This record gives sequence, structure tokens and C-alpha cells, in this order.
Amino acid sequence: MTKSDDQRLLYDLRAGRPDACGELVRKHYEAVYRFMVHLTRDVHRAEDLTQETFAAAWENIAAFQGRSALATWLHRIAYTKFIDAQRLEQRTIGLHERLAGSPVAGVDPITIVLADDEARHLNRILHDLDVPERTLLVLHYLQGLSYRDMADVLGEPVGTVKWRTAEALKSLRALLGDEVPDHAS
Amino acid sequence: MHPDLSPDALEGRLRSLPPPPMPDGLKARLLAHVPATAPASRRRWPVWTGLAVAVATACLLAVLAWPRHHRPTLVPPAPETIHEGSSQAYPDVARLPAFSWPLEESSPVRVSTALPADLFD
Repeated sequence: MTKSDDQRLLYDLRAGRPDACGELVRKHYEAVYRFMVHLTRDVHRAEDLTQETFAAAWENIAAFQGRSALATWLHRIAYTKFIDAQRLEQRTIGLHERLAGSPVAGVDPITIVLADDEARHLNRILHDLDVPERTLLVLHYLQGLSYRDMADVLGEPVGTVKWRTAEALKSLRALLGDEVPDHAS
Repeated sequence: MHPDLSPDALEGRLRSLPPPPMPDGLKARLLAHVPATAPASRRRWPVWTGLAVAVATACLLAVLAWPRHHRPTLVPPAPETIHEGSSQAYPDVARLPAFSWPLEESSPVRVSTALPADLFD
């Protein structure tokens, strides 16, 4: 979506054009959902968080200044929703662990649908990274955000984001180097 | 053959990872919760009005409190009130510095200033 499309849509949203909100959903819901899937590794949670993201967007659209792109703004809301959900989950999981004994391991929903072994392996390793590193690599390489946009999403300086992304890539390389796929051995 | 793990190759592989599939019905569910129109922008005019009033008040106070320019006075200041018996009523003449008239004073007038006699005719 070009900058002028963004500006036009933002203008329509502020002017109260009837289908402007629908247009925002149609243009951006896939990117938001995919971002949530990569962060949560759970399709159901990703759906819920995507809905929460757009609900928050309607509440805050009037305050949006338009200094960043709409996609960047939505990614920022989505990331905030994810962090909030993760904090809540950590408190809840801790309680369940104490009650049940052990957490239930989940299946990565993305890996099972990837036909290519190498892509599947890369995806699995990506999702084995810790959340901060995974977030950086997903935002930059999978979601296509620039370092400046990532800085807006994460609330960090551009230089810090750039350096941390490079470090995350090194971590991914190290994990890939430790694990060689069965077909390549 | 081991996959290329160079940074450039790895970046390329990340970028070419296929996106996760979209669940059925997600778009419809999201559109179902879309408001008919975007919420109206929060009214900011009270804030701006208050700000304008505050600035105007500050400017007015600044003008009123601005010190007047001290213009040079053409009239010598009024003499101090002299109280009878005050020791400062008259300066001690003996302590005044000596003042001597100029010894030579040439008149700037070069022509006679005598009045002609026929003037009074």
C-alpha cells in the first residue's frame, strides 16, 4: 500500500466514510494475522489477537496522527496485544503448572503445512528462537518492515533495532548450524 | 549437501518462506465487528480554547507588568524636603570646591550692539 493510499484511507477514516473501516480490514488483516501466528505459534490465539488488534484500532483511530504508515501502526497494536496476552498467560501457566504438573506441548501450525523440508526446518528453528529475537526476524524478513518501522513498532531506537536484528540472525544461524536437516546429511 | 548458512543466503531464505495459510472465515468475522463509521475524533477544541486563553492572559500580564521606560527628565528633581534644624539643610560652604570664573572671556559679538538713535524716533 503506497503512502498516498495510506493518506487517502486515513482521510476517509477520519471523514467517517462508511466503508473505510472495512477497507482497512481488507487491506491489512492478513499481515496482522500472519504476524500473530509467527509470534504465538497458535492459530486460535492468533485469530483472537487479530480481532483484538482491530478492535483496539477502532478505539484509537481518531488519535492516530498518521506519522507512521497504517500497517506500522497496526503492527504496533498487534505487538502490544501479544505482549499483554503473553504476560497474562505466563501468570496463568504458572498456576496450571503448579496444579497439573506439566504444560502441554503444542504443534507448530505452520510447519505441518509447509511441503518443502528445508522451509519447514527453517520455520521450526525460527520458532525455537526466543520471542524477542523471533519478533525481530519476523518483522523484518517475513513482514517486510524497514528498521525505521520496526523501531516504531517496538518503541526502540533504529540503531538498536538494526543491531538486535543482526544478532537475532546470528542466533538463527547458530541454531541452524547445530541442527542439520535429515535430508541434507 | 549442507544448506548455505551465509547471512545473505539466510536472509533470502527467510524472505522466501511461504506465509501461513489464512483461516476460513477470519475476514468475515473481522468485518462483522467493523463499526459503520470510524469513531469521531475526540473533541480537542476545549483544550485549544483553554490554551489560547492562557496565552492571552499571559501576554496581558506581561504587558501590564512591563517596566516603563525611564525617559530623561527635563525638570530637575524636586529638592529634598528641608526640615528646620536639619544638618543637611545647607551644604558646608567651606567644603565646597573653589570655583573661579574664567579669567578671559572673549565676547562672541563682533559688531556693535549699540542701538541706533533713530530707532526711538
